[in-house]
Amino acid sequence: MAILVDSNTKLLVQGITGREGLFHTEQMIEYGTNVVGGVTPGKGGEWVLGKPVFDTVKAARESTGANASIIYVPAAFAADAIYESIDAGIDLIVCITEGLPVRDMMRVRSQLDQSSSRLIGPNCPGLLTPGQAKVGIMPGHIATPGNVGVVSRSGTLTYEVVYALTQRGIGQSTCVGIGGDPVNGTNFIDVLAMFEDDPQTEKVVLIGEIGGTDEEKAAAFIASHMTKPVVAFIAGQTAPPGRRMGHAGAIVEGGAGTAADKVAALHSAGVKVAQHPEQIADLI
Amino acid sequence: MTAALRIILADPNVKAILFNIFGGITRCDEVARGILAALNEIDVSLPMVVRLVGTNEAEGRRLLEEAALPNMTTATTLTEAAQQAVAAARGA
Repeated sequence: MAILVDSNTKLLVQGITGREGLFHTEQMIEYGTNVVGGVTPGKGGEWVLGKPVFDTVKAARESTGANASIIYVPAAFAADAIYESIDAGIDLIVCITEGLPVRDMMRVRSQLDQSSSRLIGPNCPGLLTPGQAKVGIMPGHIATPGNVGVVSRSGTLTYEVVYALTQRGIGQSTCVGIGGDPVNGTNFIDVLAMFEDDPQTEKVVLIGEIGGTDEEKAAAFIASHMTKPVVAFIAGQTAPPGRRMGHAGAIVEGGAGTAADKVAALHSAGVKVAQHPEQIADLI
Repeated sequence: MTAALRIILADPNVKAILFNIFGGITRCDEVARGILAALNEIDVSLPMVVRLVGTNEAEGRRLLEEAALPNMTTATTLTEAAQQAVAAARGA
């Protein structure tokens, strides 16, 4: 089973002819992901890595039957790329791009809410269902199939945790990076609910960080809705207040969004919280 | 990389340097080339621990092994890398 992406995913790459788009498309194909084509305005009719390139998402979808799209276009054009996929009726849109203005994302959010599309990201590593599909930039070789679902605001920490799990022989159902921006397409609760409903997933790892209240909301959801055990890690335990820690959304403001608050909320929901990312593998 | 090293080395309290990269979009071979290029420009006598895992990790490690710097060690896991760096700092 797994969630969101699997061997039935037919993927389009928006920005397939760019440097990052091209490199990571090659990696995704090598992993076994079913990449059906790419979109770069003005380059329709060309072929890249044996895949057809289209001028628009709509044309690409009509021609290939794509049900998912991944976006590797620069920040200035990323919101338009998301709109285009929403308009074309793509089910799952994954935006890797970092640096989308919050104002753009607020508009994207309202469009998403009126559509049937789901957005993962932006500013995220994408998703990986081990052995089936890699949609994004996670290094494929560190993951192995299994029954632990992973959801995270941080790319690198996802890799650390997945790597530690795999080294212990603990496999994953799906790894989902929801991204580090303050306004995003999919939050912890959305993914936790999917893992709760997924028969393959038996346990869940949640990787949060300072800033905002998403982890607190996730803790409340876990307490009231989750039957599967959840183990967590919160990054930024030593972060000084007022300093943005790498991600746009990772900032303690006015005393809110501290790691201590999040850890306390998770503890009260019965979630075990690791002291460092590799300890997740001990706790699960 | 050169600029980052200069900033770190400007602090006299620094006794060891840890490079920790788990590459997703970042490619480990580019990081290794960056480290080696920086060390060509700046003379670093402090002990260095490098941990490169992820995209293109084999090529990254190969580049560092070929360079065979006497004051550089490599590590596989985050905990191992942190322990090596702390030990190196205490020994310095």
